[in-house]
Amino acid sequence: MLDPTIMGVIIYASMLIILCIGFSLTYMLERFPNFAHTSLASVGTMLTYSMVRLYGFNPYLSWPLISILGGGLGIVIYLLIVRPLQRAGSSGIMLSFAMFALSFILNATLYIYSYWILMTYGFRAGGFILRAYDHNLWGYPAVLFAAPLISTILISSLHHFLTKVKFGIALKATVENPELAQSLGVNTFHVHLASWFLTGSTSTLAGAVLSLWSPTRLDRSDQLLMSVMAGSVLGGLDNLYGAILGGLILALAQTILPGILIKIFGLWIGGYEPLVPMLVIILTLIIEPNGLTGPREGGVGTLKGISHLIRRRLSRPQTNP
Amino acid sequence: MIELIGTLAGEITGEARLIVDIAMFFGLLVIVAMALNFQYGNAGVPNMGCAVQVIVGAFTVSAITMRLAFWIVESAGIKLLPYASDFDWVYNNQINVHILVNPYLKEHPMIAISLLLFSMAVALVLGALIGWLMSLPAIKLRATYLMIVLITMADTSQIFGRNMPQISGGTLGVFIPNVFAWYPGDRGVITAVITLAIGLVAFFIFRTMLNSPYGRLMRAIRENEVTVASVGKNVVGIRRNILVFASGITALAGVLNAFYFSFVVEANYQRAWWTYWPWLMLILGGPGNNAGTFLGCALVVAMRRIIIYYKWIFDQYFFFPISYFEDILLGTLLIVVMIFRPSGLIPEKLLYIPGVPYGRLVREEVRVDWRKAPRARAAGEKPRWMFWRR
Repeated sequence: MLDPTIMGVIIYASMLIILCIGFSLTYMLERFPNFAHTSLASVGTMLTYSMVRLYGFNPYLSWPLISILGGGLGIVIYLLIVRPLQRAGSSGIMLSFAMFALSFILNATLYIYSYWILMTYGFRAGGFILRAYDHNLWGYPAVLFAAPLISTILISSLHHFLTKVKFGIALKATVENPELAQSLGVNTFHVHLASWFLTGSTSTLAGAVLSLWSPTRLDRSDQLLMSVMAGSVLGGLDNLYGAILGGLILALAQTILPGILIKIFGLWIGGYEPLVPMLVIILTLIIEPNGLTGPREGGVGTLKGISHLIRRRLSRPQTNP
Repeated sequence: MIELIGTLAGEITGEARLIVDIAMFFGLLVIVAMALNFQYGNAGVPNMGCAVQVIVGAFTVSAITMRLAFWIVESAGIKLLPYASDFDWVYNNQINVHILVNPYLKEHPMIAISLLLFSMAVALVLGALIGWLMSLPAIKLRATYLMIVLITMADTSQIFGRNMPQISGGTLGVFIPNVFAWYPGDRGVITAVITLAIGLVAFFIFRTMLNSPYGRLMRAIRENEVTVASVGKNVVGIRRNILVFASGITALAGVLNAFYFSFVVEANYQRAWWTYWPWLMLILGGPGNNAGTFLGCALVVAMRRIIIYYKWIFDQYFFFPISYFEDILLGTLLIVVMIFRPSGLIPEKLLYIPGVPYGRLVREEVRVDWRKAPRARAAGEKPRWMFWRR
C-alpha cells in the first residue's frame, strides 16, 4: 500500500505541471503573467462540484464537459478582455493587473454561486472535498491513476502538437516573433484563440481533478497561484518544458520538504510551510534569473550546461582517440 | 482648545460616522495610492507589494511602540501584568493596554504624541529598509519578475506575522495603546484629521519630487530606460531608490491604520486589500498624475464605504450578500475604463517645468536652454501668475 503522502505528491505534481504549462504558455504568447490562471481552476472545481453533487454526474464523466466549458471561458476572456486591452495599447503590467481584477471578479462570482447553492439546496459549497465520489481501483483511489495519465497524455500530445503539427509550429513561430509569423501567413488570431482555449481547459480540468483528492476552498486559488508562479519561474518562464520540470520540482519540494524540516527543527516550522513557493521564486531569481532551462547571462543555462558537459564527456573518446 | 474641539466633535453617530470613516480610509489609501503613483505612474516600477510596507507600519506599532509604551509606563511606577512570554504577550494584552496603559496616556498627552511620532519615524525607516530588501532579488530584472516577486512578498510578511506571536499576537492579534486617549472627543475624528494632514504633507513631498530634475529623470526611465542608461544614469540605482523612498511613506499608512483600529492582526493586511484596492484606484483615476489618483481614491473609497454602510438596504434587492457584488462591480468598471479610457479618468498632463515660457517657445519667439530653465525662477524671474511679487 502506497503512503498517502506519496499519493498526494503524484496527484498534486501531475496537476501542478498542467497548471504551470498553462501559465507559461500564456506568458510566452501574451508577455504578461496571468494572475487569473488559478481562478479558472477554482471555476473547474466549482463546476465539477455542481455536476457531481447537484446533478449526480460521475466525476470522471464531468471532466470532458468541464474542459470544453473552461476552454470557452478562456476564449471569452481573450476576446472580451485581453484583446481589447491589447488594442487599446495597454502595457504588460496593465494587462496583468486586469487579470488580477479578473481573478477577483471570478472569485466573487463563485462566492455568489456557492451562496446560491447554499440557499437553494442547503449544501455548503464554500469548501469541500469530493473524495467520497471517487472510484476504487485495486484498493487505491482512481484519481491516483487518472491524474498522472491525464498529465502524461497532455504533455505528450502537446509535444507532438508543437513539433509535428503545422498549427503547433505556427504557434511556436508566433511565440518567437509575432510580426514575422504574421508576414509568413500565420493567422495569429487563431493561434491566440487556440492557446487561450488550451490554457482555459487545462486549468479548469486541473481544478476539477484536484478536488477529488485534496480539500478545496474557494479562496484556494491565491495559494495555488503562488505555487504555479514559483514552478514556472523555476523552470524558466519562456520554456514549456521548463514548466514541466519546475512544476515537478516544486510539487516535490512543497509536499516532502516540510516533513523533513519538521523532523529536523521541530513542529514550529510547519507554520512556515506556505513560504516554500516564495523561497523558490526568490532563490531562483537570485541564482538563476531565467530559470533552469533559460539562458544565463553570457552563457548557457544550468541544464543546458550540464547536458553539454555530459555530451562532451561521452563523445570525447571518438573525437580524441 | 482641545475641549472646544471635543465638544464640537461630540457624539459621532449615523451619517457623521460614515463621513469620518470615508475621510479616514480616503486618507489612508490616498497615501498608499500616491506612493504607488510615484513608483508606477511616474517611474514605471510595478510595486505589487504595497501590502508589505503597510504591514511593516502596523507591525512597528504592535511590536516596537507597544513595548516602548509598556516600558515607559513601568518606569513611571505602574505595575503591568507580565508580557515577556508569547502567551503572556497575547493573554495579558487587553488588561495591560486598556486598563493600565491607556489611562496613563490620557494623563500624559505629550508622551502619547511622542509615541505616535516615534512610531511614524520608525515605520518610515523600517518601511524604507523593507523596500530595499524587496528590491534585492529582482530590481535588475524585467518588470514581470519584479511584479511576481513583490506580489509573493505580501503573503510572506503575513505568514511571519501569523507564526510569530511576539510581533502582532499571531492569528489572535493584539490591542495597541490609544495614543489619542487625551483627546476628549471621538478618536475616529482626530485619527482621520491627522491621517488627512499626513496625506497632504505626502502629496507636497511627492509633488516637489516629481517637479524636480529627479522627477523628470524618473519619467525618462519610465519611457525608455535604455536611453537613460546610455547617457550614463544608474537606472537600477534610481529604481531602487524610488522603491525605498515610496516604501517608507507607504509604511505610514500602516501606522495610522493600526491606531485607527487600536488593534493589529495580520489578517487585516491581506494582499487583496492593500495591494489590489490602491492599484485599482491608481489605474481607474489615471496613472502619472496626482489628480487622477485623488479622484480614483475618492470614488472607490466612497463607493465601498457607502455599499458597506447601506448594506441592509441593498441586501433587500439581491439574494446574496452585497459585499461579493462590489468586487464584480469595481473590477468590471476597472476593465471597462482600461479598455475605453486607457489613460484613466484623468489622463496624464505634460510635465510643467517652472520658469519655461511654453507659449513663446511654441511660437518660436524664444529658445530655451533646458539645463538652465528650472533655475531661472530661483534667479529672480517670477512666473506670470505671481503678479503681486512683480
